[in-house]
Amino acid sequence: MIVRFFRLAVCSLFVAIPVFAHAASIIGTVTDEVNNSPLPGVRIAVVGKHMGAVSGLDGSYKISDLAPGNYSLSISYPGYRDTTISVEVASEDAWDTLNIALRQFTMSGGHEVTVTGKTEHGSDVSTLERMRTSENVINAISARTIEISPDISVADASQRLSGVTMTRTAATGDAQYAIIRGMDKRYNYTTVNGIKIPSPDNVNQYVPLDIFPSSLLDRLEVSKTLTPSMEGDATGGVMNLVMKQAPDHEVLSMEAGSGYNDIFGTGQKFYTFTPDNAESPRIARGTSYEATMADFPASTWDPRAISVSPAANFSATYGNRFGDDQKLGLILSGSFQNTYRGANTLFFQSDINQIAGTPSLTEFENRTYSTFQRRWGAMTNIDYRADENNTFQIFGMYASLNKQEERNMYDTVNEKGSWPLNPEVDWTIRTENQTQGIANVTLSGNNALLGKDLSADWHIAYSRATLNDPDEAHLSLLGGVNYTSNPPNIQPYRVDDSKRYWESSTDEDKSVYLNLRSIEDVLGTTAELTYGGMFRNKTRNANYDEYELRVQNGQQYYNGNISLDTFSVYTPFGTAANPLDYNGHENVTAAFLQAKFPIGNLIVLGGARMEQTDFGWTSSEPASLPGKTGDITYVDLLPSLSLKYSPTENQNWRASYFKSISRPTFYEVIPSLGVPGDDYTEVSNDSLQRTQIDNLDLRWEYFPGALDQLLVGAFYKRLHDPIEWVIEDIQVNSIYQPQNLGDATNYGFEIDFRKFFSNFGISGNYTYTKSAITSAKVQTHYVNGTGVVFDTVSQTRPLEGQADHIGNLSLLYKNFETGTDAQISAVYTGNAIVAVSTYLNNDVWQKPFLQFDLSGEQRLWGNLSLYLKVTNLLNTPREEVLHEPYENSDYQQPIANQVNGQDILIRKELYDRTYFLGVRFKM
Amino acid sequence: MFHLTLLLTMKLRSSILYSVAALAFALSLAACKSSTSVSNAWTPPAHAITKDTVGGYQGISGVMLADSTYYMDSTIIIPAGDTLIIQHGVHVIVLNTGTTSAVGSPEFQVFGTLICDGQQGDPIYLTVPKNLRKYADLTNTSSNALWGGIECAGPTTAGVTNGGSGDLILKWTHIEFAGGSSGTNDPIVGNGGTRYAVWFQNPNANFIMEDSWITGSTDDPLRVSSGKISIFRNVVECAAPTSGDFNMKSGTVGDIAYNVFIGIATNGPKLANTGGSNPECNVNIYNNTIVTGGWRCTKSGRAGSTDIEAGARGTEYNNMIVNCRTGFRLLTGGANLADTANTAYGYQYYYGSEDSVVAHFNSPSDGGIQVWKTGDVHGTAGQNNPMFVGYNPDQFPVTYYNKFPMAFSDQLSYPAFNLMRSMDEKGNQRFVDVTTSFKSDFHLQPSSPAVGHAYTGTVKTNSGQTIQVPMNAVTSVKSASNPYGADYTTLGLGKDYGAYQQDGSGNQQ
Repeated sequence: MIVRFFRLAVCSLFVAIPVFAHAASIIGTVTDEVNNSPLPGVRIAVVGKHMGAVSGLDGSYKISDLAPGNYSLSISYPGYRDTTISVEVASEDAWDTLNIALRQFTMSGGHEVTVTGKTEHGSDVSTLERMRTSENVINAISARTIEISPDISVADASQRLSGVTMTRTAATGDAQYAIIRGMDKRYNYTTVNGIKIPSPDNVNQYVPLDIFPSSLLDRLEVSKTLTPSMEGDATGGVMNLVMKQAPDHEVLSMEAGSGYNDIFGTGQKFYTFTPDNAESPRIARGTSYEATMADFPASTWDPRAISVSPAANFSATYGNRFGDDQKLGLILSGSFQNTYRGANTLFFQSDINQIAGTPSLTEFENRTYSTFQRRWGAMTNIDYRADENNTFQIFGMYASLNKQEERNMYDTVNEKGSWPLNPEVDWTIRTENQTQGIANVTLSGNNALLGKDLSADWHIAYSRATLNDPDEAHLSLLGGVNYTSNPPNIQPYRVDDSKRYWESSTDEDKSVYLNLRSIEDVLGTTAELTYGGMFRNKTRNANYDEYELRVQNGQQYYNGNISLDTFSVYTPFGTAANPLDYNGHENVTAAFLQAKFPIGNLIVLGGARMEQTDFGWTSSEPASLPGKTGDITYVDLLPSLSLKYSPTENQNWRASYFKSISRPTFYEVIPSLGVPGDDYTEVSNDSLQRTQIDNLDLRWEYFPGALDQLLVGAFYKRLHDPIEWVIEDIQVNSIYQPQNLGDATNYGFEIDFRKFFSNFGISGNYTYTKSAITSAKVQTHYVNGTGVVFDTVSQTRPLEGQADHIGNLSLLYKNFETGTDAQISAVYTGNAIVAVSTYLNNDVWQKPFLQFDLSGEQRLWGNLSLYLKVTNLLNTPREEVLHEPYENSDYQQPIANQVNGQDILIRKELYDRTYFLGVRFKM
Repeated sequence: MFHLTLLLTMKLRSSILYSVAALAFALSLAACKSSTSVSNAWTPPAHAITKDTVGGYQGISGVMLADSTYYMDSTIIIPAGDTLIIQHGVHVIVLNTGTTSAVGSPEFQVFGTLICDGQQGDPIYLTVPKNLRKYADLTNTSSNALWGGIECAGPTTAGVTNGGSGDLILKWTHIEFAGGSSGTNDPIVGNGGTRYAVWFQNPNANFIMEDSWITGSTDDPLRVSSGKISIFRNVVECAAPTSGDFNMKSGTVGDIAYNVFIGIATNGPKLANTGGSNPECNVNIYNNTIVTGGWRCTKSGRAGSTDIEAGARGTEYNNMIVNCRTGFRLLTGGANLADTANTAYGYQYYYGSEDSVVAHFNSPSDGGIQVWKTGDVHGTAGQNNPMFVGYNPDQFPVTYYNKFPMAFSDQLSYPAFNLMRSMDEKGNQRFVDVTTSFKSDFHLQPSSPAVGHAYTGTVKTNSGQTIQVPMNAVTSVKSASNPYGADYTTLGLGKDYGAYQQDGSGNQQ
């Protein structure tokens, strides 16, 4: 067998090079001519025959069953010149190698070639390209990766990014908020196409990512370092949702599917209720209106079991270009998902035993959740390429997530210290109908001024985030079972004092951005200078009402039918002075200057950003108290320097320093009457300072081939004045308050890799993080003679939400020829604090958590394919513990689900598997 | 930064670019200002009392003159550093008591000092107009209250930096129909929150309550969320519809003795070291009479005579507990166990008309003390009748307490209210809807088995430490230079069980 190696320098559109092959099969690799990297998915057709191949993920291809003879191979690949190669197959039963190098099409080539395709938006290759060429440290996943992944929301997809962990909701186990490199939600922000969006949350200012259907995205990026042109309040990172853009050719895709949550196959029932969408009586009828029981319909807390419907999932996208020279581009995309989810949770309440100073279990709760979720979103992007110097774009989107959640909670109380010999069982029914919405409209332009040396890009954006949680009902039923007698005396439940809640908030951002970019000769080198500024006016209005309904007759028995006159309204005016009733604004004015210039293979990007924050409020508290109104202005100078050294085309070394801030939230600052907690009154703090953070990053990037990558990095962050909730004034009358706590550190390293072998691939990432913060905790001492003394002691711990080890591993299979994609993914999250306690050694930790998900796609015929997503394959329980040993001897008899000598179990949640099956059409 | 900008700027070719850069930089510099302006507290100036109507969320100080009637049409504020003295015989009639409930009704907001200086035979009344003084409103539905009460500031009440209220002194004072829920925006209570008929919460100030009455409340008739207390010889009637205690939290030290609790919803004196204040909650509870307590509590296991839990310590001696839902409850296990090593107890006198009551004198299922001590009197049903002068504990079955609050008509036919009084000490009818005269009297007959057998020796804890009874925790005393200083009279352990002593000491009602 003769094996010949051809390295084809393809200089014109059509070349014909004779190849003398004596084989029935041709194998080889398709590479980029310039950087030698393998190209996946290149179509190699045998002209005139229905034969051909598509190169694999490592660029390899194979054409089999060729009879001896002369053939013409037509090779096409988006972004590269079409190529034709002549080959001669000389004999049978032989293999020949034909390696093909393609030349990338470039605009500056000056040839009259027609581009038949360009790198497709949302594909893995373009996403990787963005990572390679980016000015700062980013990680990204493409729409295609998300599409074929097990994920249906942006939050699910985010956890596949290196260094990202997600906090999950109790009711469904769905990922919701991102913690990046161990930095809690407050240290990150979310943008849509680079425009910061507000949060629908009425307490915090971070954005829940589960609101966004993943199908609206082109890609999801997390920037882990900041450049001066980026807003300065991200320390962990910036989640950027890059939405779909108008394609260069007509695109139509549709997807429809259905799904099911296994938990309802195991005997658990799905409960539904009739939501009450009325406004709070106080909001609807004024502060002097005295609510009556007529304002609280009984149907809201009268859940009924139904057989659960299958989930529904639809999405569609259309895009094209129109007009002369295709100047006008349009894309429309919409998505709709209905899902029925369940969860089953064991929960132990604990309290500090003041004598021993250690936690002790007080209540055992069995909670079952039924959640109906409706997630929908729509977006459009219209761009107009007026000429080569001027483009304009208008973008609009809306995303909404409605959750109708019913929770049944049975608790067994250990109030008397005699549990579990003698439990009483209380039952609480909670129903909640919550809708969150995020809308954004942005008008953008890109204009070249003064020739091509100076260009401007600008954005005018309006965003609005809303939360509406009307008439959340909590029905308390007492003492169902009494085990004092033998056999146990099953008593009917008695109705107890119950509550109704209303919460709503609206957060509006109006912002303008202007960036000017010029190419200058500075100090003998060509530098790109960028100047810019922005202004954003944010207003937040939050309302909260709590209505306490008291039982009129303490001996009312519950028979499933709550008659309204059982209750009377104890707080008929609502709670207009709750800390969650406020009006606030936050105006940010920023200006920056950055310069980017090369020195050999080194690219230097440095500059500084000035941000002025004007934060003001009107509180709901009485004017007789200080801080009814306030306005605080401060200025930050945020320098940044990043270096990117590229010794070769496929390798980068990056080093960067940047300074960032984290602003206090409205809820933390705006003075209020405080919320009396079980032990401590929560009080805001209007002298809270922003946190200032110094960030150092080092990263090595290696891109050995088409889709292969290896990224290794390390980071170090020093936080000055981090904001934490702590106990204050323990000697007099304790309060729980957010405060600036000295300094904290966070450092770690990360590895991110992807490697393909023909049709198989493996991708993964691993991040190690270690952070430390020291805060005051309450310790109860027992002093003989004096008794219990409350004291404060310092305790050093990791930041909340920071897991020591986090990792992802996916095994991928791609076959371009058969149109098959399959992957199995694992997400690992290590030990992390999920709730910081006011007491020493009483923080709640999430145990390491390993979840397996599976997904696959198979092309059926033509443009139609079938997909399957299965999440939580092994029904991994999510467990939370206290790092204090459980001792049987502390209780009258061993407690179920607790193991002697091991950490005290606080929570164990099971969500079971969720399946999605559907079809996808792409034109 | 400045130098870099300058350097780069000077190298620019285009004058327009130069201007732009300069503008950007100028903007940056212009933005370089930081400022903070947060509105100050508005403290109402204290006005002297010039007319008989007070209120209007006005600051008030000075003297309400003896035997006068004042109308309180809205909340009044006693500012920090100011003192309001209410002399004997004053009637403060609270108007605007809310339409369907007490919500938003007036209250005393005490940031300064309040002294109610009543006298025996000429007490002070803080009450509602006569036509609203209905017995039915004390016993039906969910609210036993029509106005707020006396709400004293704590040192860390949101935004208040004055260190909390001054002293509160109540002598021979009737507080009636108080303790309704607050409206919104109450600087002491918060938001639509529960108001206690009397709420004291300053660990550095003194709370003295002697020979006074609290009638009604929707929750705790008294809560002390820290303070130095001296609570002697009071009567608490008809407190709370479903849940309410005579409630002491962490930071509270002192004595509760010779008080009478009639039909309280949950517990009489209750100690729990919650709330995170120092010092440890430590109260001597002795010679109290607690009758038919705990029956209206909706939650099991919590009620209902007297209780020490959650890290608190105390002394429980010589209390008389008659037909209560549970006996003295000292939590000795679980997360909420009491400071038992420093707690001393014994010599409780129990009486139960029926077996179901006797079973809960000391039941592990209630988390009770589980150890009978020397001097504890506990028999079978009907045994050890305390022989009250004017009340027969066997006159109706226990199920009646259980049903309370029952329909008003039923209450009239079952004279549960015989426990209370229909007349005040001047012989005036207390309730407009009850005309019959009734009055229970918990004095002991001389032949009562409870006479002469209570404990008067030295009190020692399990660990052998001697406990001072009375504790005399109040720190400030009345003197020529401090005429409003705390002025209190205490009494040690009495030799007869309960609040009434054969020698005429103890409770004077």
